Amino acid sequence: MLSKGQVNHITRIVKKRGIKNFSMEEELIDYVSCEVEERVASGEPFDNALSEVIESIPMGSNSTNRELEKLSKTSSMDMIQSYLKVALRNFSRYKINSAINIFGLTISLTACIIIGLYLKYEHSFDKHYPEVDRLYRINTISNLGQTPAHITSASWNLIPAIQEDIPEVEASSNVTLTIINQPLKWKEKAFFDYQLSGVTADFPIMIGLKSIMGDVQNAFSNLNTVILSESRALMIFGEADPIGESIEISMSGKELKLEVVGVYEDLPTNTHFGYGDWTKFSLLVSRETSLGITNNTPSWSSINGSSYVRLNKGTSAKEVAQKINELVVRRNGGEIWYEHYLQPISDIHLNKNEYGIESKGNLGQLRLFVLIGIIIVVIACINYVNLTTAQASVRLKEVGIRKVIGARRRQFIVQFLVEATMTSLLSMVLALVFVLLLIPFLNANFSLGLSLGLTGDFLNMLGFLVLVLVVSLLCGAYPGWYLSKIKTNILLKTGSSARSGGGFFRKVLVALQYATSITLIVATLIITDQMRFMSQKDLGFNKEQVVYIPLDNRISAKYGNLLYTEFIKESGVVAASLTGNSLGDGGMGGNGVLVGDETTAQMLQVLAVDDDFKETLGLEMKEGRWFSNNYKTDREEGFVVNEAFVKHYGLESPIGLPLSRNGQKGKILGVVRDYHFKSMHNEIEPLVMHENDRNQWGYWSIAVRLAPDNTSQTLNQLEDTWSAVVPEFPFEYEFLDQKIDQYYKSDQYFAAVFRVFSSMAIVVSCLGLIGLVTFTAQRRTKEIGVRKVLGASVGGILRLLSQDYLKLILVAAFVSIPVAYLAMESWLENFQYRVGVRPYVFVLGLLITLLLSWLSVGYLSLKAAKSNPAEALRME
Amino acid sequence: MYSKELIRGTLKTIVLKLLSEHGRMYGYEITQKVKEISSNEINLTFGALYPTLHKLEKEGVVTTSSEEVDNRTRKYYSLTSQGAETARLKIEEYYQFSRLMNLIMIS
Repeated sequence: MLSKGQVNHITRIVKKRGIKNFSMEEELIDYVSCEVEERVASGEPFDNALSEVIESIPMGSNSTNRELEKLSKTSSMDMIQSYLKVALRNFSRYKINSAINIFGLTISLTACIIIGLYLKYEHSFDKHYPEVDRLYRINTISNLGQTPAHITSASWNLIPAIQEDIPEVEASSNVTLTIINQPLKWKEKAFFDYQLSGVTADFPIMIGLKSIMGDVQNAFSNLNTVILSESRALMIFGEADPIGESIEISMSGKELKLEVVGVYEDLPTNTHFGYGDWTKFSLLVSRETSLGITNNTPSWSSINGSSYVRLNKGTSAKEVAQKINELVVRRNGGEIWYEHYLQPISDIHLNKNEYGIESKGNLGQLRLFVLIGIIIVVIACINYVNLTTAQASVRLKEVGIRKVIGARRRQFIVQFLVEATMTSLLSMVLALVFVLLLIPFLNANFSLGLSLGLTGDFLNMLGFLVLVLVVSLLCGAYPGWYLSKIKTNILLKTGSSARSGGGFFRKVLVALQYATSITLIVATLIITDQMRFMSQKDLGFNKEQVVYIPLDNRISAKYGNLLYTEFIKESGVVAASLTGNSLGDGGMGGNGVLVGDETTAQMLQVLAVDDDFKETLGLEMKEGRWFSNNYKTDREEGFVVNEAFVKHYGLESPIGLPLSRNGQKGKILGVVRDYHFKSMHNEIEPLVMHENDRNQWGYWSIAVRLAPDNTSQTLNQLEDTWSAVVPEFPFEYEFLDQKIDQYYKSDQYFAAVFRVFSSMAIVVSCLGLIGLVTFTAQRRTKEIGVRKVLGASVGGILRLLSQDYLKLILVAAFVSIPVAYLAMESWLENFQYRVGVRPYVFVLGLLITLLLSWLSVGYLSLKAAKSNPAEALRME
Repeated sequence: MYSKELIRGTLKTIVLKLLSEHGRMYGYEITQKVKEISSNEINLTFGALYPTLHKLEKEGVVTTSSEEVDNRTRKYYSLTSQGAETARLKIEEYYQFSRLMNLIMIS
């Protein structure tokens, strides 16, 4: 038998040879000892025997050893199984917490996915054309006026000139709107709601229109041929074969006959052509045909219609723009009032380069949404971390025992990560289901083309997976790290379960959550405030009960006056006036204006009005007088300007000052109080109002103020009158207030979306709070019992339970108020006319937060406070 | 000494047979027993025996118990109830196989 010292010696040698597994090491020691024992028994000295035995056993880094090690380790499959089992047990043991975690994460992931899809959609605009990186739109900077204006059109002459003179341009086309909403006839049917544009033969190739029927690519070899989109063809011809059919359009008294030669596949919604309603923009004719339709002769000085070019490979857009500008000057035979530059077509929607042109997409709003998405996810992760660490103070024993048995730190972290991953995976699946259900609703209400792309969109799937991973890491890493850090003896000490895990850190996180909630509530309040402000602000005119009836350019000169005089005879009409652009159009035409003895004209906005315009719209005079029938010269020589005009020129006594507009000489009759003829995003600019000859071209619409009752009856009467005068044209009208609301549609969308997302964030925060308080109340059951036995009142206990959170809310308020203030200040800068950030929103935001948190935890606290102390103390 | 391949293929059967006869055994005991029965012809090495034992333990065929013997810990292996059945099948299978091998060899 070997002595203890000999066995120890063997143990040391075996350990030095390094087989790491504990049980294998023991067996090896026994094995070696047995062999040595035998040899010693047969007379060999111990040392000799030992070295021989060790020699005979292969140890170290050979394959046997590796095999042994591999076997001795618990296999990773086993570990994963164990992780999953423990995770599932924890789910079913802490049902409320798990439900809160899953629900919270589901909400936030839903928000996140929708924001992500929206982001992707917004970035997908105009990316699907062939050779899109060489495709540009020719934009124009106008040098008239005090600030250069960016315009998205170019002269009608430009494209043919480019095709002749600039070899760097591979393909080019103008897209010139030629006919809008004239009666379009096929057989017995008539259609109105469409736009017909003239393009060159390059256009279908540049945009990659795909033929469905006929030949779209070579459609324009003959005059008076038309190609149309699939949906438009279906609308007009139904099931019939459209190729070879003729459609008729009556235009300027001419009957136009167009032969359908091709049908192309509809463009997707994410294109800037015909924004939002592509189907309107779906009849294309050749440039030559469109020139034949209109009576306008193209000139270098007038610009209308967009133009697009595709450059040769490796050509710089700047150089081509330079050449185009030189070409324009050369062909025009002298300097001209504008300059061109090229904008990449894929940049048009979001306008990332921030050219001074308007864009439909809004990069700032997108960034804000991304921020909100991140905030919501972080809030849900904070919930998870808080609940897990709080719950872990109960689980400390589990952690302690595992540690004693020999679990390693890494294994704990993995355990918590596995739990977090399971939660986030489950939430992701639920979120995807929600998103799938929401998408049709979102697409219909916000005219978007979102799709989850579950089948085939590899990138989306990857994105979701990354999201799950990130969330799992955010949620699981800290609890695992924190709990495994605590020393084992502390973990196992009785009573230590009363200590909350990570108390301070949790408080910081809760405060952070409150801070974001308060910020979001305040932001929502400010946005709502601004929306209300915009809808209620005095516009300077009365938008209610006013309808605008647009006059076609063939009607305006011939029948405008007649219609107007017929309209004012109707009993339901309070006042009416012939006018130019509608106040809901978002802008006015520009004319060169000279004031006083100035010699250089400025490009200012002008509006054609009539004698009763002031009364119809309810404008107020600041000084001077409005146009009047009593002064015969008003129509030809009178001008009325606004206050901004007076301020712009710094005029002291504007009345009577000579003014000329595009060569029409006259003098200023009066000044009206400023009114918002554009949206509140824009400052009120100088405006010149003038009258036209009622029987001449220039009045584009009739503004009618209706009596407040029997509106629909009056409209019917107006329609009858209209049909009696111009039966071949459809009667259309628009309510001014509705049209003005259109300006703010995107703002209102934004406000609505913002409200939804902030509510989501706040709900998720409240959920976390409920979980935390449930837990605290549970853990303090005994304390509450003792306090009650000793005479504490329900109110006292409620105070006890809520004072922690109250303090946190106040701290959070301190942090969030400046953040919210700065963020919203910069948002409000989008609006020229805005509410300031009023202090009451912060107070209200704080109150709402207090109320919400009290609502979410009040019941639980009350239940804890009212519970029977005997029950609480009987436990154990 | 016989080639590793032959031993490797039958090692499991050898261990199961011994355990089914002797009840519980420790690793060194098994090697000694095999040596004894085979008159020193078959010598199981540490490196071959222990992986087999651990594999069997993992499969639930054998179970272990540790004891303090002569200043060191000794791990004993014995068949589980499931293991007894496995042992029976393995031994049966071996007999059949060797019969067939014989047939092939003498043909």
